[in-house]
Amino acid sequence: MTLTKLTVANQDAMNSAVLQVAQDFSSRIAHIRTSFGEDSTDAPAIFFRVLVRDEFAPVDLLLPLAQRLTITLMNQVGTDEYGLRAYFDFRSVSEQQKLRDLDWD
Amino acid sequence: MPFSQELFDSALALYQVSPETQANLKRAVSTAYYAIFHFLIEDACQNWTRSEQRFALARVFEHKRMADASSSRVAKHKNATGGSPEFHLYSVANAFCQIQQKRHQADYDLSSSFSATDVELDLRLVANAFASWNVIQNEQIAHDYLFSLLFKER
Repeated sequence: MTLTKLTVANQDAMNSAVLQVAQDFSSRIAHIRTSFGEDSTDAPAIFFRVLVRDEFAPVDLLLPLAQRLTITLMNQVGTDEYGLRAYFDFRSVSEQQKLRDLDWD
Repeated sequence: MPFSQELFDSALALYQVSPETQANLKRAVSTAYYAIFHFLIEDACQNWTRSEQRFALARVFEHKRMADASSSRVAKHKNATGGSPEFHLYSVANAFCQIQQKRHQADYDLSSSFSATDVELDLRLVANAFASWNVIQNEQIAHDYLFSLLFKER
């Protein structure tokens, strides 16, 4: 399925799944933002931006969290079923306070 | 020391430069991508018996083909049991996909900003991919993956 075939209903369902995953991980992450587009090879993609609570940002804690969260998101959102490649960015709350990217708010 | 390891060491050094700058964080990501890119190509080319042709063969690999092959492994093996060959292959393919996309962002998207947290995580993903590859490098599943990095599967 190409990106153009994604319906509003599909995107609503995916956004609901993202919200549920964010809630399930809420003790460790502040929120998850998403956007749709194409990756560097022009394949349809979904981009996840995960804002991590500062206490879970050290890499030894973040690595296992990121591994679990990324697989959970791919499964719950159904990225493969929608033909989307999933990409993940992580940053801490305090880093976002300094970088102030609107895409992450 | 293999070229890919030299590249990875360079990526680590760039990440550790103080004070932290966007330029160094982005160069670290870009360099780490080329570390795993050349790491896989080096191993794939070892399967070519005529050693004098391996450098020429290495030039044939394309970023898109490697991304397509890796993405299909991510989709296929993302729920593999921890410690299994499929799990280790997922780790390699996933690291390749994630950091290839970040490399593109680092090199071409001047509006993007990178966080040290994300870059350190990316470097760890690549280091783990190297470790996972060492576990499966003699497995058939690994060599099928190497083949697919160069040749489209039918």
